[in-house]
Order: sequence, then C-alpha cells, then structure tokens
Amino acid sequence: MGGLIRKIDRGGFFRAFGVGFLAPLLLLLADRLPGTARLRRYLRPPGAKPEKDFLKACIGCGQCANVCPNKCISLAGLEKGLGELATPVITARAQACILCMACTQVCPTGALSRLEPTEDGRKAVRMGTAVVSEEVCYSFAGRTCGVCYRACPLPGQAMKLGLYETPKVNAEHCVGCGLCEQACVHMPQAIRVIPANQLEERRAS
Amino acid sequence: MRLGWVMLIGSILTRGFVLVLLCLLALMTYYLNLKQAYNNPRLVELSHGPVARSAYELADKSFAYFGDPLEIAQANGGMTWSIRIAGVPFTDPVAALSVLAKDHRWEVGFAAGLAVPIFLALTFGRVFCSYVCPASLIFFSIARLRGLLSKWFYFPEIRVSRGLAWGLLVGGLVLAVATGHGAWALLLPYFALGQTLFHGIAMGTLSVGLGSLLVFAGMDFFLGRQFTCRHVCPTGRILGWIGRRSVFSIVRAPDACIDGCNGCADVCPQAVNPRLNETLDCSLCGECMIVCPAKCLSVKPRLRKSPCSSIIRTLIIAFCLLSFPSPLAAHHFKGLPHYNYFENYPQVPEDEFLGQAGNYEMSLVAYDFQGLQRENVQEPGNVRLFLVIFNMLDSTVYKGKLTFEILDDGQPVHSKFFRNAELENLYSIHHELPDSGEYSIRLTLHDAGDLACEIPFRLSSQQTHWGRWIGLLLLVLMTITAVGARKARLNVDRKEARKQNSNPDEEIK
Repeated sequence: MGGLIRKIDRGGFFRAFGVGFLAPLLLLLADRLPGTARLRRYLRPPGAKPEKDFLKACIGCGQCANVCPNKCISLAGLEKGLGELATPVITARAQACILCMACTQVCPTGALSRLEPTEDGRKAVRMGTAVVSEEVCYSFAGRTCGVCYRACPLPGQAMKLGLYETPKVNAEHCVGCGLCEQACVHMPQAIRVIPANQLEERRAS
Repeated sequence: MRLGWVMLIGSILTRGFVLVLLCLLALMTYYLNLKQAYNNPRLVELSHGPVARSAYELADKSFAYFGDPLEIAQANGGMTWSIRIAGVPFTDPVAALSVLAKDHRWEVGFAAGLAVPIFLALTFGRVFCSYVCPASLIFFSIARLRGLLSKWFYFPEIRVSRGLAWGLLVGGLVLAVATGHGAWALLLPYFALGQTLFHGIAMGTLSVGLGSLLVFAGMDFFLGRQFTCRHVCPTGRILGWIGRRSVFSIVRAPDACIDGCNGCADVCPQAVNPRLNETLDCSLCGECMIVCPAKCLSVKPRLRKSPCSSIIRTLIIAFCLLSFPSPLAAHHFKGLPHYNYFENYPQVPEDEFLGQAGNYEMSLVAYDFQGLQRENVQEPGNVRLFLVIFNMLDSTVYKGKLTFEILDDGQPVHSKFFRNAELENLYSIHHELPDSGEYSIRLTLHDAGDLACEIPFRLSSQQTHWGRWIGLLLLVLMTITAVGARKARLNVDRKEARKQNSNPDEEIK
C-alpha cells in the first residue's frame, strides 16, 4: 500500500496536455466544411429559452427527443454547425409539435423551461410565428381550404378565418407549434412558421 | 482468482445491460409514438403489422405493471451523458463542468444527478469505466481482437502522459464554450455511442458520432491496447482523479508477487501498474487478478489509520457540494412557485409586512419590481405596494377613504389619497424607490376616525442575502475538510514511506 504519489514527467505532461488541448479545437474546422446549405429555419421544442440561453444550457443529452411521443424532435447533426450539434430540432413541415409538453418536463438543465400540458401552458409557448403566403394559399385564390385553421391548437385565437376560409394569423397568440405548416395541403407550402430565434434576429437587424 | 472472474464477467454483463438499455430507450420512442397515436393494439397491427403489435403489447403490459404506461415510459430517457432511470437523474461530471463553463447555473435535478456518479467514484474509483460505459465494451473487444491477432501481426503499445486527457478536457471545455455542448458528442466515446444508437434506432439516420467512434476504435486498434480508455477519455481521467483515494481498490501482497512478471500492468485497461502499488484510476475490472500468476492481487478497502474519517470527510465535501446550488439560487418567498414566470417577472411578492392600529390590521405586500436580478431589469427602482386593511372586529375589509404616504427616513416622498379601495379591495401604489432608504408607509383611515398607522418595510435588495453567506460557509467548510484530509493523507504517506525506507527489500521505485 501507499506509494500513491507517482513521479510524473512534468515536461511530458505539459506536452501531452498541449496536444490534448489543441486537438479538440481542430474540430472547429468542421464548421468550415463546404457543401450542405444549412437550413436555418427549424424550431426548438416548446419552452425553449431564447436561442442564446438555450444553447448555453442545452447539453444535447437527447432526453427530450427520447420522451417525445410525437417523434417530432430530432437531434441535430453537423449540418447545422458544430455549435448546434446534438441539440433538439423540430422540422414542422415533416412533423410538428403537438404541445404535449413532455419534453419540457424532463429537460435536466433548464434549457426548456417547465410547462404544463394545459391551456395556459400551451399559450405560454413561444416557438415562432406562422406566416401565410397569400399569393400561394388556396383560400386566398378563392378555393376554400381552411386546413391550417383546423390543425391549429388555438383556433379562433392564434388563427382566424375570413371569407373562403382565408387564414389570418394573430401573431400575438400564435405559439409557433407548426401544426398548420405540417397540415398545409398546398405544395409548396403556403404557411410556414418563422422560428422565434429568427424573429429575434429580424427584430435586432 | 475467482473474484477476478466474477468481477470481469459482472463488468461485461453490466456494460452489456447498459448497451441494451440504451437501445431499448431509443426503441421506446416508437412505443411512445404508437401509444400516443393509436393507444390500441389492433390499430397498431393494422398499420404496422403483427410484429409491431406484439412488441407494442409487450411494452404496454410491462409498463402497465408499474402504473400509467405513458408516464412510466417517460420517466426514463436520455443517454449516458445525462439519463433518467425511473425518474432518477444521473449527470455526467463533464456535462456539469461544461454547463458551468458556459455560464449557466445548474438546475437542482441536474446537480442532484451528480450524487451517484461522484459517490461511486469516491467509494470504488473509476468503476464507471468498467461497469457502465458502453463504449468501453467495444474497446475491451478490440483489445481481445488485438490479442488474438498478435500471433501474426505486430501491434504497437504507445503510452502517453495523463496530460493528454487533461488537455482534452480543458480543450473540450473551451470548444464547448466557443460552440456548443454538442461538441462533446465527438470527444467522448460513450456520448458518441449513445448518439449513434439513438440516431440509428430512433431516427433512422447516421450520426456523426459514428465517425468519432471509428476514430477511437482505430486508435485502440493501431496505437495501443485500450488506448482510448487509458489515455484519451477525459471523463475517465476526471473520474480517476475524483476516485484517486477511493475506499476500495486493488491491493497487492508484495511477498507473493513475482519479480519480472508484468502481466497485471500489461492487461490493465486503465494503465494502472499494480506492481508500483498504484491505485489511481483503478476501475475494479478484475482483469489483473485473472492474469496474476501469483494470485497476489485482491480488492480490499484501503486500510488507513482511520478509514472511517476519510469516508466522513468525503461525505461532508459531497454534501457541501450538493447543497451548494440551493442557497445560491434561493429566492422563493413563502414557498411560492414560479408558475413559469420570466426571470425578471416583476410580480413575485418579495415580502409581506404587517401593521396594526386600533381594530385594523394592515398587510402590505411589496411587489418589488427589482425582481430576481435587479441589475438586469429595465426599471430597477420600480416598486408596487399592495395593501389590504382588515377590520378584526367584524371580519370585514376596509374599503373607505385612505391617505397612503411613503416615508423615507420619516420624510414623506410620495402620497396618494384614495376615495375608496380599488379592484379586489386593494389599495395599490406604484412608485420609484431606490434601495438605499429607510422606508415606511403612513396610513390614515379617514372613515375610521382618521386612524393613523405606520408600517416600516424593506425592499428585497436591502435584505441580507443569507443564501450567499450560507454558500460561503459551505465553501469554508469544504476547504477546511479538504485541507484537513490532505494533511492527514500526507501524514499517512510519510509514515509509510518511513516504514518502507527502513525495509530496503520493499523499496518502491
């Protein structure tokens, strides 16, 4: 027993430390990879903090994606850049959030603040805001559609209908779940959710 | 030795179990999806086939055994990096460091998740590496493969200083701060494995983690036996450091040990050399005990003069560490919940002040607009005072004429006359107040014979932040314990060194 203090070679230690320190920084080169046009328009799960704080807190553990019963949360790969690797991403057109709030209940680091699956909880969500392309939308061309309205979890508040079921989004109440975007029968889509982080950027610029 | 085999087989089984668990957790997303979408085996069969139905029914039954299937299933989730099993959180120390480095406070559950890993490391050393880490199972197999192929091929055995892993830890932290925590998915083998499994099974895509896993596997194959575990993995390094004085460790009986045999050091997956009586980094995998021809190795609690005191010291430090976040984050008033308020949501009642005059009890609540972080709010001096006047004689609330004055050091700074109480029988006043004054309110109840009353009140930012003092106390306690522990250890080491010097046969290089 004893003899726990082993002599270490200081020079070797620091040389190896330097190599170890610099090696991960080489990964920054991954950000410089050419090719994939990065799709910037994607949503964060409900309850997500503003993008900057969210990325500070999110450790990419995947618990939200694991408990999501809707399988709408996927984990980002390198296509979104190294900074967002393994962070949860919702592509609304493919699978939109049903606001069940399961992910907000499990987030260990507070990147998603806790919300309840109630009316109030749903209203507190700020994932983004839906925007209608009136030039594209069926209803605006006189072909009554209204599918997005029927998909909306807050009908009458977040979205109202006009003549021929033309959708009108109330940005104040729209939570940005993306169900309208997923439901839109027009291809290419006539309604899309602008993520909250991009709204922030737009307001800033 | 028998114990060695038990430990080795046990470690393979537990790691295999973790691997299966990760796969099951990834598969669980399918179950949750079917449960949410259909909640009916027949519908599952109609849309996904009979195999899906039987799997769905099996999962449904096994979860239903414990309670509501959806809730039970959602109590488990995550990957090796941060995982919840039956609702109990487990946190990777590297994740915790990364979050701290990126200037984000630990959530209570997140910090609590550190308890089990740190306790295990303090008691048994680096056992995570041999008993939990699913990636090490791959590296273990590669080491066996090297052994098999070494009949025909030459495999190098490169040894690197511990500095490499420490450097990777610091470099990884810098990278995580510069980009995001996700960068660890490329630097930690088990995280990469978890990502690969989850992406592959739950999402049907290839994860970039697979690439980094292949790099680690390549290093293990070409550079040295268990190279990743021995020299690269930052988590192993930090766990080894935490458990460097673990209670249980490998112990050598020097009398029985054979000179010239180096089997234990060659086989050790964590680059421990039991021949030097090293125990730092021992993960209790039992491999050295199996290869030792002299059977001179065993697992024992490290006998010190007082093994108990080191456990108590460890527990004190662990307790202090774990209770650290709560006093610093404490800001709740009378157990009021957050209700998802924003960080600076103004209307968190800061304190309640009571006064009495005649038959009337006045309760004043200062909705201190200084909020939780006064320095960050837009209107730092903003204070809203709410007042209810209760007539104790006939149990009614006073709603009549009132003069409401705010006094600073006895001098009125603001005054308002109310003809009657406002909404919900409240009198409210909204004013800018700096946090430097000695405040009180003076009330004159005109409908109660001009009854006057004065209630002193304080603003939240004037109050003593006991949490900070308690935090400081914990820090002092921790320092004292740690310094004491170190002194005690040095004494023991010195004594042993003296003993060994008096016996030249047992000298340690």
